[in-house]
Order: sequence, then structure tokens, then C-alpha cells
Amino acid sequence: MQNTAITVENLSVHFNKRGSLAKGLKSKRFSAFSNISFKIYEGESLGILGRNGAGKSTLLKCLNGILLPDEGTITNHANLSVSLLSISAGFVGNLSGKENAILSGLLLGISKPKIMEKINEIKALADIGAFFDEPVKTYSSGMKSRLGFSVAYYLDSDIILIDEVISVGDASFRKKSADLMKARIKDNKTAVIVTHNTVLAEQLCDRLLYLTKGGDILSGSKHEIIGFYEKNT
Amino acid sequence: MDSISNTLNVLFYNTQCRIRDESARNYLGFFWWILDPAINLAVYYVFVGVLLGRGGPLYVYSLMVGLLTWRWVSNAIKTSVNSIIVKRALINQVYIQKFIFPLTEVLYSTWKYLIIFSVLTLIYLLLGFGNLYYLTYLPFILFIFLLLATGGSFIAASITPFVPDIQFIVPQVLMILFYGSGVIFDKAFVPEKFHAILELNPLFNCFEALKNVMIYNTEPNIGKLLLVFVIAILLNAVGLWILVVNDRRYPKVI
Repeated sequence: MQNTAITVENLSVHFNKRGSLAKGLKSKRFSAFSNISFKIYEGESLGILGRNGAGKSTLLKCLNGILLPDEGTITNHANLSVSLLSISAGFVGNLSGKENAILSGLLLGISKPKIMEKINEIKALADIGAFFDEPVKTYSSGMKSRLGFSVAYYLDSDIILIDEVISVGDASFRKKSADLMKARIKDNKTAVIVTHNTVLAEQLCDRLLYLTKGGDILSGSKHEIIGFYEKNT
Repeated sequence: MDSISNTLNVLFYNTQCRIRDESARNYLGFFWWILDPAINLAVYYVFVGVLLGRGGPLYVYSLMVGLLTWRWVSNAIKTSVNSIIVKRALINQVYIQKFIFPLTEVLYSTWKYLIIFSVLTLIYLLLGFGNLYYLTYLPFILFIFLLLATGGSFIAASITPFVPDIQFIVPQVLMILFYGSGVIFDKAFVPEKFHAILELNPLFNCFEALKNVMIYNTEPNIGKLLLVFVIAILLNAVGLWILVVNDRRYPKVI
């Protein structure tokens, strides 16, 4: 039996929609999900499927520690580091690619010495040539995501959370980034992947969960969950 | 320890980036920090000093140091108001302690202020104002201004995500504090019975102290400064407390 990395128990998150004078000051409350429980095992890649608005991204934010759940607990048994794979977090248009790589890396929680040590590898991976020293506002969106991916790739976290984005850029970089991420996930990393791509889920994940619109979580074989997802979306 | 050094790294690198970003953003960049108070200076000098004749002999000099210092504190607070909201995308991707955003704004304003203020102090000394004995009070007075800037910034930044209307209230409050701060007038022109009201404004006492040591070569009122110091510490404590308690709630409301 694998070790449990994270136990999620009776987790609920509610949002309040702010009122205004025109609409009456009362705020409206709705739930992203309520009372869900599941476990994440060390070394597994867990896929989470569900319709838009089922609360998948909110769930990742709770796992990542960005968001405080309203009820329930998340227990990180071995105090493992958890990070959301974020492309281009905090990019500033007037700064160069290099400066942004350092800033983004720091914001993602990579230590400064490690970023400086890896900066040439980041540059090589992004493969944007002399643009690396130009302001990011002159980049195309593809170039921005190349740079963003290259920084995020060096994030050395015990558990990676992936929200849809697994490959970015043009065809060649798309393949390169997807291969790298897949290799990384297969490399016995613990990963939680939110996706709508059932082929990818089948291929990449050891186990799948389905988050329903009503806020329940369903488990079953990969085949069952994918079947359920295709029927219900 | 690791996380503290990482937080400091984020704070300082973020501030550096903020400085570089800003200077690349407009044609005159840094010069706006001199131009803006200079234009204000001209306006107040003409209206208060010349037309109303209420300036006093050293009006230009006290106006200059006052407007520059006011710009530092008010700019820090004004830019902090939305500092958490504008980082919406980032806050929803990575966990960052939220006090970093207003603090970045304060550090950014402080850095610019200190450069211009040092030059101004030097010019004043060359012109024969101030002397080194009274100027030893300066670090303490500036430190209190800094604490007022961080305190105001923390409170403004921490509440705005929950009550967005704050962004319209802050400029009004700052305007009232400014007109009551004694930057654009001298206490001597105000009837005695109103002095007590003016002194309720912590900024008034700070500006009095600043003018005393920079221009009038007199002792600042240490008792009043200490009182402002305590108020400033309280503002910081309240602001930081709101920020820390709601640290992981902000992503939900912005």
C-alpha cells in the first residue's frame, strides 16, 4: 500500500457574491463544493475531471494553500511542498525576460541561488534567442508562455498541481513541453491534474476522480470515471 | 529561516522590478517626482504666499520640504489601496503573503523620496538652513513618517478587497489630512484657538517637527512625536493583523 501524502476531509468552500445599493446590500452565497473527502497517495498522479464550474480549480487552490476552506481539513502527512504549476505568474511587461524569469521563480517559491544557477537552462529551454533580454511586452503570447513554462518547469516541488496547462506554445514547443511534463509526472512525482482531456487523463493518471456540479466527489476505475464524464458533460 | 529569506528576496526583488517598470513607463519617469511637487509649489506659492500674503519669509523653503514629504507618504498610501486587487491573477496562482504588496509600494515611494530628499537637504545646508545638531533628529522624524506610510498603506490595502468603496474614500481622507497638515500654511497664521484641533492630526505634528529641524533650527516637540509614534505603531499593528488573518481569504473576494 502506498503512503498517504494528503488527506482531504469534509472540505467545503463557499463564495459570497457581493451586493450593492442598487441590488440590495444582501450578498448571495453559493458553494464551490461541500463536504468532499479523498486521499492523495505519494507517487501517484491523480486526475480530477468535472464540468466547468464544478470547483476543480478552487479545490487545487485549497490543496496549494492559497485559499482557506470554509469547513473541513487538509492534512499534509509528511509536510510535503505543494505547488500549482503556473505559467507566467506575475510577469511585468517592461522588464526583460531574464528579470521576469527571476521574479516569477521567486514568486513560485524557488530560492534565488537556485534560479541564478538555472537561469541559463531556463533560457535554453525557452529557446527565444535574444528576446530573453528584451522587455516581455514585446513578446508574442507564445513566447510568453514558452518563458513561463521554462521557469515553472524548474519548480522543485514534492507535489505538483496542474490546472489544464500541460503544454504551451507552437507545435514544436507544445510537443517538447508535453514530453517534459509527462516525463516528470511519470518520474514518480506526486501530481494532481485537473483536465478536460480524457485521452491525457487516461494516459497520464493512475487514478481518476469526478467532481460533480452538486459538489460531490465520485471515485471508480479510470474507465468508469471517463465514461461518466463523457455522459455528463 | 528559509521562508523569511525567501519573503525578503521576493519583497526586494519585487520592489526593484517596480522601480524599473515605473521608470520605463513614462517619458520623464523619475523627473515627475521633482516636477510634480515643483508645480504644486508654484501654485501654492502664488495663491497662499503672493495673493493671500500668508506665506511668511521662509514659505518657499518649508513648502518645498513639506510637499515633497507629503508626496512620499500620500503616494505610498494611494498606490497601496489597490495593490492587492491588481495582483488578482498572481494571488490566484501562487501563495504570497499579502503584506508584501503594500510594503512594495511603500518601499518604492521611500526609495525615490530618499534620493530627492538627500539632495534637497544638501542644498538647504549649503543655503545656510539647519545645522547638524538639529538634523540628528531627522532620522527619527522620517522614521515616524515611514511608519505612518506603512500603517496607512496596510490598512487601506487590507480593507479595499472587502469594501471596494474604500478606494474612493482614501483620497478624500488624504486631502483632509493634507489641508490640516500645515504643509501649505504656517501655524502662526492660524488663530490660537484652532491649534488644538490641528494637533489632532498626527501629520501636523510630524510636519511641525520636520520644519523645526530643517528650517527654523529649533528643537522638535519630542513628546508629541512620541505620541504620533505610538499611533503609527497601532496603525501598523491593526493593518498587519487584518492582512494576516485574511491572508488566505483574499483570493475569494477579489
